[in-house]
Amino acid sequence: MRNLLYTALLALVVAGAAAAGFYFSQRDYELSRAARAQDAMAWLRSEYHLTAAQEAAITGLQNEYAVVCADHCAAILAARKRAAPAAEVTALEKTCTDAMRGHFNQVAALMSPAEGPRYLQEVLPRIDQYAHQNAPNTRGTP
Amino acid sequence: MPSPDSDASLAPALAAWRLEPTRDPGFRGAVRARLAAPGGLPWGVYLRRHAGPVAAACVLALVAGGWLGHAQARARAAADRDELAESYVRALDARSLTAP
Repeated sequence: MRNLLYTALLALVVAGAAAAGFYFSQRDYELSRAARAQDAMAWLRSEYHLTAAQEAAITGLQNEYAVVCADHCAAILAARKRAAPAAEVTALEKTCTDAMRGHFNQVAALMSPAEGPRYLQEVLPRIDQYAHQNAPNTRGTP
Repeated sequence: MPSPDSDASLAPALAAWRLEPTRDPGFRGAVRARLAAPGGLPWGVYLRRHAGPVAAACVLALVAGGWLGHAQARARAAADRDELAESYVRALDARSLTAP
């Protein structure tokens, strides 16, 4: 019984060492660093294998889009502040999501033909997911 | 160093010496019982005796541990990727930036 226990412990040690070895050797440290720093560009670079030229072009596009996004934010905030009709806020939000889709398509076009569709597959569903997660409830209370 | 005299006196004593061990009829049985008793066999001997099953258990543990480590690394990467993609999209989404 004692020997069986020792052998089981040996198997456990082997399993633990193998698990740790595989875990630490196969972890994506670049991705983890990007996640810790909330560095979206680092993520795009490593995930979609961007070249320096692609990264520069995408950064430029994002900077341009930041201005557009700020305009949308201001418009939505102003509409909410003056308690604009729901239809107006919805229309403003649709303008925002359409612009996001356009921006994501532009970014995808700058990537390699293999990576662009993969990028769109990752980001586009998240636009609609937000709408579903934050859909107004039917009870009339927040 | 022994002197030649002491060697000469030791030789007849050794020649006359007879070892007569008493026979223990239960000796073999006692050894078998000790080996069969729980924890009786040293672990090294046990491992050598069961080399096949022990090796198979170690290989199985290696494969299972490797698979678990691999799966954990993938899950961690998926979680990091999801977090980054979500924050990337939200940072460009005027709806989330203006959420009350």
